[in-house]
Amino acid sequence: MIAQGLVLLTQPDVIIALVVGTLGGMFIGAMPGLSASMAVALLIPVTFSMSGAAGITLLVAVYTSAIYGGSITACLLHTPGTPASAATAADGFALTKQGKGLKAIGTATICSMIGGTISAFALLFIAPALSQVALKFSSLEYFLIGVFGLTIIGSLAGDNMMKGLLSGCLGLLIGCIGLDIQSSAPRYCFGVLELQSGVQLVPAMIGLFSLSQVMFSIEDVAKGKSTVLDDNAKNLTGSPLLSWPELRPLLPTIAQSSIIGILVGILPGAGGDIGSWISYNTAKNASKHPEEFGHGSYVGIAASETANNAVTGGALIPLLTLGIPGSGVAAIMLGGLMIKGLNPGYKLFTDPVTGPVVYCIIIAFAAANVLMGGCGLLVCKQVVKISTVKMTILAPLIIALSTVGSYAVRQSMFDVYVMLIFGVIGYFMRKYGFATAPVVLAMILGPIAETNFRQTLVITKRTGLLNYFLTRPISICLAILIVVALFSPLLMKIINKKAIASDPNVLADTAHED
Amino acid sequence: MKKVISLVAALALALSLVSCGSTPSPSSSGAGSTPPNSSAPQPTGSSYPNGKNIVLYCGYSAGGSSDTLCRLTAAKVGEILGTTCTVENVTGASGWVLWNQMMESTTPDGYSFFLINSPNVTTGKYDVDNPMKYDQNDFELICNHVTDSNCMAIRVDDSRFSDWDSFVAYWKQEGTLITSASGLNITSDDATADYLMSNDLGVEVDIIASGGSSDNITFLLNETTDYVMGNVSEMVSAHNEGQYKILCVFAEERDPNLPDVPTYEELTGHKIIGCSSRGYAMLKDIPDDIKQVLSDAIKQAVQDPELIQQLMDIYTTTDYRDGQDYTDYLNEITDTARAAFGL
Amino acid sequence: MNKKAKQDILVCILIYAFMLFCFWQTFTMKSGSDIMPRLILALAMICNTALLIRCLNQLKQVSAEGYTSISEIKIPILMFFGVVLYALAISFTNYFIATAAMILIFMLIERVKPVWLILAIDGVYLVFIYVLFVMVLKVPLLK
Repeated sequence: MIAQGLVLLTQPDVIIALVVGTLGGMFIGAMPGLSASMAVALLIPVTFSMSGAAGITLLVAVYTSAIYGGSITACLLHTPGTPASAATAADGFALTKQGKGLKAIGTATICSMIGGTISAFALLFIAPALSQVALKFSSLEYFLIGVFGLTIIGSLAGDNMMKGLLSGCLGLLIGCIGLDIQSSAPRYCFGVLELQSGVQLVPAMIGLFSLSQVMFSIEDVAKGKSTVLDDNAKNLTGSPLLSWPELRPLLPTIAQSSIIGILVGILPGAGGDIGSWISYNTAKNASKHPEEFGHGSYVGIAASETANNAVTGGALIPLLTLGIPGSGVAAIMLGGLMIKGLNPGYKLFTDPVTGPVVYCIIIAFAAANVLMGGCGLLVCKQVVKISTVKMTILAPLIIALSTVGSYAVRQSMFDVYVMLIFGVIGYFMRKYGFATAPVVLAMILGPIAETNFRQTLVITKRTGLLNYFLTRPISICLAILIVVALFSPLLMKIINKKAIASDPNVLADTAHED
Repeated sequence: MKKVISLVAALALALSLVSCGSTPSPSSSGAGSTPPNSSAPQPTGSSYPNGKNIVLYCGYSAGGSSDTLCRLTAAKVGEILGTTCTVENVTGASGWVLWNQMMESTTPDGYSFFLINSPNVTTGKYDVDNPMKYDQNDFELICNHVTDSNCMAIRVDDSRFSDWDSFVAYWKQEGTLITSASGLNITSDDATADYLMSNDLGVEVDIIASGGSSDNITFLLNETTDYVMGNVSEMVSAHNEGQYKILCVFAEERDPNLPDVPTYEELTGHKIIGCSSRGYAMLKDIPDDIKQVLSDAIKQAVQDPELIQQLMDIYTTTDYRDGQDYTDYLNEITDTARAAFGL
Repeated sequence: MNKKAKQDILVCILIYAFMLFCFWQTFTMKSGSDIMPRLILALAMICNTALLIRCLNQLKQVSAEGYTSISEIKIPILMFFGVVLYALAISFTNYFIATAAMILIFMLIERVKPVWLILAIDGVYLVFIYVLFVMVLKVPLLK
């Protein structure tokens, strides 16, 4: 079957779809305002006139390379091209300001490529087994994952924990806007019909990150600083590739993030955005230098980018084996698959007609990841020059792109107004020291946590919540993880204090200084 | 050198995007270069549609089953009228953003029509928590296109029951079972069917609120729910693959996609009809002659054998109804739903 | 008096007002769906109070670092209103006309030279958007 798939891959329309999808996806993902889900949704009708293999190849190639492309502008302009790259923005942009933008993008490229390719192999060889994992997760597990994700807010808060938590609360409140899932009663809709589907994540994110960043840049321009770079950062030459001593510490993070990404991808409904945050947080908790995160840590970029690309392959696993999409973008692809007669299920892989097509698509997906990595590295040096372009030129273009990107998904001017509102909110929040990343995170995870909790209440009506919880090992593990995540910073502080107190050298020094 | 490569890559990308865009677009696929089809009666003195684009508005997002249906139909309508017919998505509030927009801010000039579907449009007015202003009687109905019957399925390896009789026996013994539906009230066809069935059998049902049919199937497969209620077009292929077992269909007759699955009436002697239907409507104030041309073209498209076959290939059964038949059909759906919820 | 601390306290008060408004709104919700907003507001109340206490403590400090003056935010806010006008222009005309005008005006105000560069960038951008969105993705940007 795999051999037949390879043969199909050599057909010209599939190869064109692969190349166009990869390059186009990178490009679209990079544009602030244009996201992976928008691109895939709008390309579905384009696939109608293509063959099954070519059409779906186009979609998966665009999916993975758009997720990667988002990291480019996240690093260079602090405007994530897609929600999945929001976790990369802080560290990537900090590195760019220091003039290390080239290495930042290089790291992101390599990590995205590795993450995507590993997930492609998982898809190729162990998809059926992994899909069973997806079924072990139910509402209680999702609720706990949501809570675990929310504990990250504590570490994203930056310098002021209370302000970070308040940002998170704002995000949670915004997540409540819309129709309540259980009663379809409107919450915080104020009679506005468009709000009944909730505040859309992409326009809100574009406003919070892109538009507010443009406003900051204009402020800088008025003060005389016309480009993104700090004054002392002039060196944009050199190689995008990290040297071996720099790369080695990243390898454990890359391995761990790939696994996290694939697992998150397999979970229905959890996509690149969740995967990248969870991976980032895990890396930060495990790191010996957590204070570097958010200020230019290569480990942070590696964690986030490896995971968000690993999610793409992971999301395709339940999509193809069970017909259950593993992420929001995969959900959009489901329609595209069915129209081509590629009905998900075990038979998809074994049937003589559809089997080769599916294997062709999977191999093409792996090829797209490698191609994307190669192209990314090739154009790195040119692309990083964007950080030298004057903001007076970039700003109106970013505004125009943000507008069309917010409009395009639902073809609604309402989303453009949402973007504007979040832009000004984001600007003032950052002005007064409130981090904006927690808002986005809470908007994604809050509804997940609430919906799944209330579903759990219905499920456990007969058995009782505690009994149900105790029979599910995955839930118990997650609960332990949450407790560890919440209390580990505190524990570290206590341990450190004790170490300092009991270290005779320190005491001697301080005594000496008196 | 690298600059040259990147420039060439950018050019190649641009060229391939352009070639992508100029490949036969869906609105002319199959039409090739046929001259305007003159089978639609042209009213005297009017030059409608005059080569202008007609828009079919779909209240659901691109890539979904409603959107797919719209795109296939729009292609046919354009062919028949000899002009282009494109689909625009206006999503939100389960279709109501579109219908409100149609009623409140669209000119009735005949260059637009839209998808309506039950139960959303037929029951929105009676949603206790979130009542809508309009219902199907505020539109000029054109015709029904597809009816997707409700059906229910159980796990293949469920140790407690394996067919309808053992399922019902188990339910009566336990008193209540768990299922899931996207929406728990009158606006959900799944929930309505759940209540109709449980009321008829004299048992209770607990419904988990889910986000859609994918979630419902996940719940069934991971043993959270006891059975799943869904629509035939979404469930047929997994049933045929043996992922789960559809026990019955809530329709007048057996569904052509599921010839071996009995109807509820065959199994119990009582009739329960549950379905979701999709059809088309336009604004009432469109001038009569234009109305006639447009609606005839749409009716012709829906009954076109090629389109019917295309839909059969994705398990979607065409159920053409027009005129009073369609109006009565929708009103019956409204009444059944209201009865199930006591409204 | 410490100007920054005063500003922070003002922000806390505004947050309290906003939370009270949200809490008042929860009474219009169905029981069951009002639990989550109330939980969130309770958490926010605790955090805000802790923040307020911290700010009150800082009132005594002398340094006023991080204070945001009106003059600082004037220009970005003006730009923001410009963007709002741009969005309104899109809904009255169409994307291409509004964007052509916006890019032109923006760059002229920012004194980007030479003028032909502005027109070139404007043109290339609009062609790119047209090809990608209108031709390939068939998003209706032209009415």
